[in-house]
Amino acid sequence: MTYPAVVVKNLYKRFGNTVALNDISFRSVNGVNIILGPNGAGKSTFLRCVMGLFKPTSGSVKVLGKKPYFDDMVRKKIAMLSDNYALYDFLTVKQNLKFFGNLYKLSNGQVYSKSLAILKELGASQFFNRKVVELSRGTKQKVAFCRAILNEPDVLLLDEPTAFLDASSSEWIRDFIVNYGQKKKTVLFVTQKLDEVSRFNSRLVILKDGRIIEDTTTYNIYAKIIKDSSVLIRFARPVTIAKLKHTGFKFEIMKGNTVSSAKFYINGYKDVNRLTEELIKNKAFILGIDYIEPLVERISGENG
Amino acid sequence: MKLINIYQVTLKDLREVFSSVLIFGPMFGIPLAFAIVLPLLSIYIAVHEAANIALAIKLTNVSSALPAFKSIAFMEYFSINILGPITMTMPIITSAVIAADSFAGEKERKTSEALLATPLTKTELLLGKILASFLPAVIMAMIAFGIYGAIVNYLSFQQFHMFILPTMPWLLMLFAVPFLALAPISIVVLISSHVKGIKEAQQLTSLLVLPLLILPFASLLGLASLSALFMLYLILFLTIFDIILFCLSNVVFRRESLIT
Repeated sequence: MTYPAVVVKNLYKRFGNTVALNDISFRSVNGVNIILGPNGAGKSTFLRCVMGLFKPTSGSVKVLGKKPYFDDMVRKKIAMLSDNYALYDFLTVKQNLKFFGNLYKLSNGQVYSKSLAILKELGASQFFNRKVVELSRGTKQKVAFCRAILNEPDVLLLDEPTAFLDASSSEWIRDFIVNYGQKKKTVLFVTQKLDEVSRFNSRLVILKDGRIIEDTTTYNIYAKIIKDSSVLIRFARPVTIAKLKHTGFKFEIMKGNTVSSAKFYINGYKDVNRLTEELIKNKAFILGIDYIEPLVERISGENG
Repeated sequence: MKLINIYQVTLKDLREVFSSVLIFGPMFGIPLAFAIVLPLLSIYIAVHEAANIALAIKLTNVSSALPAFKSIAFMEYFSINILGPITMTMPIITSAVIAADSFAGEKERKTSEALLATPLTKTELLLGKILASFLPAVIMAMIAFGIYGAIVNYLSFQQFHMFILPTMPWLLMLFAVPFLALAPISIVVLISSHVKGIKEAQQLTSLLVLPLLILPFASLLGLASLSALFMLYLILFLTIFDIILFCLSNVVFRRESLIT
């Protein structure tokens, strides 16, 4: 396999007068490459250029040393899960997977055994003979993920792969991505959710307005992203407002004497530790901490 | 170019078409109904009811022509020059629905990305899509020819104790169906790849299939005599036209237009 698997040089992509990608240069690393950005940042367009679906207006995209828009054979080693499930509604799951699998030169037996094993892990093997149109959005997403990994691509492109999925399936997919990246494969993972990013220890590229504004790692961004921000803390038992006041942090709550969650204003990620310590000290039972989105837009704004 | 890839695309599209009787029912039903009803009604009326009809609409001067309606020559002319072109073109017109849906449907149902992400070449894609409309058109035409030929022969045997079909022009007409089908289907598939949705594709398709009606009308009005020689020239012309058209389609077809 050629390293780095994905090399993008001065990529411009324009649709009419709209510049979707503006002078993007990118070299992938082995393992997981997360591409984070707000809506309209150009993440999906970037992925489509790497997949060879869009022809670059200028610049070059090379995957495994080949130009995917022009070289049909290189797409044998790439797979993409787009932001919509892209399955044939009036065919069964089996027929859909057979069609795509056969195009990757997999025999019917290989397609069935592989896909059934993946779908079983995702809790969707019982839908194998059902028409896609009859499935829920989440199940369709599972089938689409199964299709994307069926040919064990060297370069796996994922656009919001955990969207519409239940927690356990999302976790299985995240584990799969991490393990897959460790097999000397390249994964480009597009997301707009910081919550998703925080589950990986990997390279992180931030896109805004069609430009790369930051090329860093997931651990490095918290100082910037969680700055003058807020977190939502959920409690296992109702907490009185007096207890919240004892923390010393500014907060917002729903009306009432006791609350089951509260939004706290923090200056940085280190405040999360201090805040939780204070809450625990005041005998509050913390169930979970959520980042208040849209943090991605914030970092983009700072740097853009 | 790999034939197996073309086969996979065609098979997938045909599976989608045959997934619902509401899709394939009218598509197959209309040409087959024409193949049954048209010869039965027209020839039966001409042979058995022409005198009564002429009387009913007070066309006295038709009476002298009535014996001609009961002749073998009339039945042969009618079944080849009138019924033949209609049976030939009807399956192509109805199959154009699949061609219109080919790429426009993928685009509208947002499956084109997944399709383009596969290692399929654009020639394989185009050929796969064309074949998915072409095969039903040709198979339907063969069935329709078989049915209407059998009906004509049944009626002629009853009347004259002999079978009229097949004749050489009739066989050549049947042989010309694939050549006649390929051109409009290729154009419709290409249009389908460039429009935004199925509705646009269908509107344009309805315009494009109109030239197909030239053949039955020219024959009906006596402007073209569907002789064996005419059919041979037609096949030759269509073969050249089909090859040029496919080469042009392959040049004009852009993968990117399926997702933008």
